[in-house]
Amino acid sequence: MDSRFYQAFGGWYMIILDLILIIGVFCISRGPKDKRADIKYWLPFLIVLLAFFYENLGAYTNFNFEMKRSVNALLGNTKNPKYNVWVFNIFNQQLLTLLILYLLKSYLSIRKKKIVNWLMFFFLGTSVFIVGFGFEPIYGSQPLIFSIAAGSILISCGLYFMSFITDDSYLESNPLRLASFWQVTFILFYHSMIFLKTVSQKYLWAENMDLYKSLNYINTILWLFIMITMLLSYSTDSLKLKLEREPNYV
Amino acid sequence: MSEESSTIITMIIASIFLAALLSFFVIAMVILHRQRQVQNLQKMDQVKSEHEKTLLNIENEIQQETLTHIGRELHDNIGQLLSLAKLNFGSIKPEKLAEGRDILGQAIQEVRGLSKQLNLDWVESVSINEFIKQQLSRIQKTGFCETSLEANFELIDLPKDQKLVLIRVIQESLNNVIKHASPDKILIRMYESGHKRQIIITDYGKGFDSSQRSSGSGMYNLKKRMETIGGRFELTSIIGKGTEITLTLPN
Repeated sequence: MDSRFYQAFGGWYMIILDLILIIGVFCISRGPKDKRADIKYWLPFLIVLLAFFYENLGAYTNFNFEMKRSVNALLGNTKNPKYNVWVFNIFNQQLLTLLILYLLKSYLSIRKKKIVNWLMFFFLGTSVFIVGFGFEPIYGSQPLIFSIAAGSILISCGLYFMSFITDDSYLESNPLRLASFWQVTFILFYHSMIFLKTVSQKYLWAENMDLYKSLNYINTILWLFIMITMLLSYSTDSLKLKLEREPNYV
Repeated sequence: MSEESSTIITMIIASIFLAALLSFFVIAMVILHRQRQVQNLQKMDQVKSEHEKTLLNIENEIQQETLTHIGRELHDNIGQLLSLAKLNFGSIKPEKLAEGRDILGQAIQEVRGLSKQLNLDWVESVSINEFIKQQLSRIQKTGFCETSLEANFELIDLPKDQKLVLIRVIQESLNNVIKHASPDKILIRMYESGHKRQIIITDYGKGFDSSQRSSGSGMYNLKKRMETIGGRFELTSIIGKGTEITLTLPN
């Protein structure tokens, strides 16, 4: 193995993400089978699985330049064959946003679920429109789609907290023992930071790369926290964690 | 300080402010949730104490009703039987003495029956169907009006507190019929369909305008009492045609 492989796959972020997935697979295989049909159980796992997949795909494109160049060419990017931002755009910005919105929806009451449904349709529609009409190509930076995704997620987080202080289903729960509470809290922090980063991105790139890197570093840590809270959802039984069951809406 | 470093400081401050704001928001949500939990707990305690108070009142009322009934029975029934027995024992005729012994036996039976009613243990052993039958036969015996009971289920699986409330509501509803309705007939129907169980008390009496608000608190109390056990109390009445009370039992 050459040093490029270690550079691509051997970073602390990749190792922690791999560990989260391995622990998750172990927990799922040892966990109760009857829970596997529950969306609050398998969706967090799917989110971790998708994050693992695209991060490794991203790392692989850095390792295998030829592949990256041919995919870029396929997408119409012949100017900057070194870019692999399309991996992030497709899997994180589009797919993962939809999955996170779907997960947040599962924590809400029927009325609030409808609002998240509309947000999902709106996000999907505008994304297809923006990419389809070439306003923001899939191989480049997509600040507008980024903002819509973060906005939709932040609104859904707000709806969760509203449910939290108004719905009777949460009256029996201790928030600090709910996986959903920590998930939504870290998602809220992460996407608020994303907003800040997106707004200042161009300026920081030009003026202070160190600060930009610091913001990225904070976001990476927050993202790992989100992944860990996702892990909590399906590892409660296997790791014998004292977490409470999520309230159910009829 | 250069313009660039001042912008960067502003950004750092903005980031810290954002993080602080979000932390404050989340902490505020947790505090609000905790406050709601405490308020809910207080409300639950209040409901519980009101429920206990209602139950206590109902027990007292049933005991009072029972004592009135026992007093009446002692005076009208057992007193009469004992007087009759005394008269028979005063005679020297052997057949009169035997009759006196029979009457005395009957009086002893009646006393035993009454003594069972002195505490509320009978509530647990009697089904609602039996209780209604007893009440209706008591009314019919007085010659006040015709009574009948139609039931498609036997109501025996109620917890004691719910049974007490239901007994008292039925008792009070029948008392109201006797006091105010002057009916030709009282019909009680008990029916079950799916999870829904209802007791419908119909009197073919004077009736009243049920759209007019009543000045008394009787109906309100009955409604409240049914609600404390998770049931429902509904009343409809037409002048000249009678009154129908529907008691929907808790699931």
